Amino acid sequence: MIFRRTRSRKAGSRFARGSALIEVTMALAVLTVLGLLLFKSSINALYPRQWTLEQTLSDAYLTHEKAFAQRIPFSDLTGPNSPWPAQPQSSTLADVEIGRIPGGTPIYANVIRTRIPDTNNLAVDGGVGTAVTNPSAMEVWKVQSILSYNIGSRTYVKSRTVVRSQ
Amino acid sequence: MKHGFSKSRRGYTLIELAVAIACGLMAASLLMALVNQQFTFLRMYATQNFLIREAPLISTHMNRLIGQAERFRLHNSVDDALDGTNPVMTNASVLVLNFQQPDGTTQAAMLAFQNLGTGNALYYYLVPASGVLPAPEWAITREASNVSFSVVSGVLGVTLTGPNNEQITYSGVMQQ
Repeated sequence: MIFRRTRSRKAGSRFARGSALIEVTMALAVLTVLGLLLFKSSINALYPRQWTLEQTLSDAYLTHEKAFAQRIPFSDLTGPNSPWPAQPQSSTLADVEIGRIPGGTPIYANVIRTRIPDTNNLAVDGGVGTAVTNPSAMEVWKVQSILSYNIGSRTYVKSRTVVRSQ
Repeated sequence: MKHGFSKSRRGYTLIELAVAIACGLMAASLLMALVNQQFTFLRMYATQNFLIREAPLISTHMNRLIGQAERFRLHNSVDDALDGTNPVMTNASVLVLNFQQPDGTTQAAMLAFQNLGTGNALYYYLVPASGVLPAPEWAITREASNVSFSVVSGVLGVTLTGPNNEQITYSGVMQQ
């Protein structure tokens, strides 16, 4: 009943002529508010999943960094063209594709690689050890890969470290 | 015969009807938009499931398997894998794993992405000494649209492609 006529002519009637228009307006307003609330709740549910999704992709990429650090021959790791230069030097891989999200859109990240000498390494190997503290000239390196990526305006950084020795 | 309320029963004007129809249409379109929004949300939610739920599970299973393997080999087909012929380094659909058993013998297992008549799936087989492949032990995943194995710089990579073109690569090395 959009337009209430029958009662409008009676004295003291509850409904004034055209009151249904107000009801319809209110109903539309309620629907609009409901829509906005549902939209907001959808965004609230999807945003953390987007975050989780990028975590999954970055974690997966770091399995590669970890495996590569474990697998690379020690001579290559400590050589002049090492993918992990000794600190304070580092190498940067810019815009590495770490995976694709639904729809096939690639996700990129930056990777910084470096290796940190153990303090007991001999001086030639970046440490302060001596023939007394390190008689076998053991060489120990912490091989570190740092991945940084952006979600919205925030930058996230995570790393994996592998200890290699010889 | 006259009724007292006959005057109040006159019809609605065109303007009133037009307004009523417009109001109804607006309410209906709003409701439709609401329903459509919820369906879109559910669709987006579902498309993320492969990367968020399925891929990490696959990775866990694969890590356990590959981490315990003594060596592995890649092939483009199950037949090649059983024959030990035509090994490849990239884009392989079959991964053969060898496990050292406590009694010193070797047990071979196989991961194969193939269609056995029920759609593509990544199957796990235990390969008997006879070399005749039995039914798969289990299907690791049926949701992936493609699974490929590759070896780069000694690192084994497993690239999983989901039903919505999402892609994720897990890597690992054998036991050392």
